[in-house]
Amino acid sequence: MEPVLNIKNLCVDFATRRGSIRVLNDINLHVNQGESLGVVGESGCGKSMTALAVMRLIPTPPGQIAEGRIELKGRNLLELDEKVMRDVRGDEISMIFQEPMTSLNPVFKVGMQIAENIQRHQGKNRSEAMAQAIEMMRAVRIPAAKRRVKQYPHELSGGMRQRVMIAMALSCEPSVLIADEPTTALDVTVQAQIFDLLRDIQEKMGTAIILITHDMGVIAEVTERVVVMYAGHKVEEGPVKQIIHNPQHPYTQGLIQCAPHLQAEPGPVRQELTEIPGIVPDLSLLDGHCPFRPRCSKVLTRCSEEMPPTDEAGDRHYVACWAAGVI
Amino acid sequence: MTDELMLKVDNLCTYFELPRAHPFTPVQKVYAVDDVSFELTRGKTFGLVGESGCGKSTTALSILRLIEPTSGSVYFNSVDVLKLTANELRKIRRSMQIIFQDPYSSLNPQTTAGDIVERSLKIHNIGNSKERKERVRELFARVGLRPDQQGAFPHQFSGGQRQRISVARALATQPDLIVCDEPVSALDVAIQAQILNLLIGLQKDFNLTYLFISHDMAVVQHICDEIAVLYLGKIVEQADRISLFKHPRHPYTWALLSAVPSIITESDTPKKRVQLEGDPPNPIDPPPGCRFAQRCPFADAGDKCWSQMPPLREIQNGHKVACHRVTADGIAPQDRIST
Repeated sequence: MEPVLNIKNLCVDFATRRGSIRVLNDINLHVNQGESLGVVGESGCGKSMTALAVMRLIPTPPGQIAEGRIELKGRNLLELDEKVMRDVRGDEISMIFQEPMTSLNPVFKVGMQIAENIQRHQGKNRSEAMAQAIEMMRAVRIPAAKRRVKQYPHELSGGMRQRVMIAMALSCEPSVLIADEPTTALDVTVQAQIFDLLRDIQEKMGTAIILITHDMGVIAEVTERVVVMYAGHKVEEGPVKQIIHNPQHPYTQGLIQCAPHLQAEPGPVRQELTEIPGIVPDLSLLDGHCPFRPRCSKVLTRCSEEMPPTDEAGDRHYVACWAAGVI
Repeated sequence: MTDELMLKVDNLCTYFELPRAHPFTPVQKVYAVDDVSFELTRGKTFGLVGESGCGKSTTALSILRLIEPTSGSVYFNSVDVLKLTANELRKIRRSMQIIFQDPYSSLNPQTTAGDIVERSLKIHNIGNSKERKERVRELFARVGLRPDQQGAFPHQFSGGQRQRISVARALATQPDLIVCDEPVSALDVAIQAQILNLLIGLQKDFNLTYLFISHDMAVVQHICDEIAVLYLGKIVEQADRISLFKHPRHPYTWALLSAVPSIITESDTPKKRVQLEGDPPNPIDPPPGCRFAQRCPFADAGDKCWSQMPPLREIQNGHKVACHRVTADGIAPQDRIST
């Protein structure tokens, strides 16, 4: 099957006072129609940067897409001029951000903000667009949608605001939806509602979803395939069951082991958690070899000599590590 | 072995009055903490969990009198903290310290890390200048910071390191009780593990007592001996960690646990899942019945759920629950549904 979105060899550079820094290094990833792809990693590893690159929202300068292709249904988004790209954003690809309060405009009614997108992309008039906005708000299970369209963002709870964001993002039935930590600011019971909603909509519309998160639990419950990122590199990729039960990269293993997991029958209290020592490295200090090496427990001499290539480690399972048990 | 009682909270209430919209409208109150009671034993960790706005942090701040509670009593080593004068309070605060959630806003940006830690020693008149410097050096080493980092300002540290400074500051006066208000929520998963391990290690070394506040059920399960679940300012369930996670009795606890995404779910038994509708309601002038009734899948119309506040009662040793629908022998409404 031809993927809806296919990112090939994407490299992004940022100019700083200390020279140019490569924040994304040779990223390859794709997502198929109706599929949910998870992107996981610590903050600063390039998850959001990848999303912004796809939307062509990287501030330029200082940022710059140095290399690569981003193909949406075979069309390279990097070759489009800004005017055409504006037609793509919100219509063919949409994005939901982490903090719903800062991504909604506080001085406009939420209904108008949804309708604006519909007017812009579908050429409908105001009342048609507003009617569709109400429909969308019903679809994202906002109760009393007719009354809610006339409210301002501050009158809605966090969960409701995120639903409005989702309604806006899906109003033109995009082929790809990028959700960047959509539930990090929400309570768990509300988080469960939002994911349930996204699953439902995906089934109905066949949207491909890229879910960016740092929570392995969310990955396990919501996505089918996972990409693990570290310091601007893709270190592992595979079906979610493979990644969770048979992670090959020491970083993925660390991410799974370091978090306490809720259990129905808890083990002894206050067991030492397995730490990943240290912190995410300063990207300007990377030397072109394995970036995880200083924090890695399985480091080999080869790790500081060559960058590990991405090898197959199983069915649709890829890993970039010298120490991994590669087939 | 007798368990030494460290902290006893009795019927603690903290209400906030809202400004009137109009001079003749009745005063509206936010029932942030409403009749909360619990006990903490020395060397143990007591967890307060719940969603945002349930009163976890207000409870903690009321105990330290960083917010003045409306009524109730807080006995710390048998002294009623709420009756102390400002002077006495300052003295007792030496033994009760706090670590805040946000390591960015809880450290003075204009003060070096060393001074931040030393300041709490100065305030409590501990040691002379030389001894204090020595103590700060010790503390830095204990929480995993380098001694040469003492002169650095908070912005020069990463989030995890800043939280280490907060821990060192709390530890400086050799407290008995440390209130941890979401100490790891603002940190990345890998850093979270480092800080949790640090807290666990310190507790063992210094026989510390923690009041641990978190919204993360997995973290609470990992670190707490006993846990109280709060909903809109009330404790709805309280039990030791084994009992609470194995047999959650209150429908809210059950729903909360089932909403937590986990990598262990795809085991043989699919999780019984319940989804709560809506958001936690507003704690302004709540209805007379059970606070959870609006979202509860088991609240019956015409039942006393809507008219009477369920009392917190003990159903098994130490396992307390506030729900009309849980029977005297501890059968919860969710036990009767089969999926």
